Amino acid sequence: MSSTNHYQFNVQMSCSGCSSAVERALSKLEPEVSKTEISLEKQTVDVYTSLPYDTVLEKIKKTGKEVISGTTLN
Amino acid sequence: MADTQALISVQGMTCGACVKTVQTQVGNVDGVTECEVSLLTEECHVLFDKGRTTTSEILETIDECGFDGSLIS
Repeated sequence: MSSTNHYQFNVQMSCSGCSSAVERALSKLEPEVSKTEISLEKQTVDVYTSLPYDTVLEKIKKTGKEVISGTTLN
Repeated sequence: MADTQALISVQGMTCGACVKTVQTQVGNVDGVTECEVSLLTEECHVLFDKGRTTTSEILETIDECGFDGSLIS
């Protein structure tokens, strides 16, 4: 199993539609993305993936949502 | 070159912010001159220069936003 990185992004989402949109956009990266957890309350997007950080960041930016910050947790 | 019109159905938008997102992203596509998004009818009306962009490129942009775009006319 390739090393799975755990990234957490603060993404400005205003409704469940926005969070499901981000989820759908990230689901296009499967199978490299094994899991995504999105919390509307905390405005966070957790991504478990073998992809590099920049690829995931780029994908989220492309959804047009504002990425306030991003960190790599392992 | 006269602009071409495209009417695209966009599924999955639920609030004003979603509409703004689609409008901004599609508006940023090089060649798009005008873009109106309606939440009620779930449609995106786009005016674009056929020489610089195509409907498939616009559909891909909508797809990348996490919404399901399909060309109506």
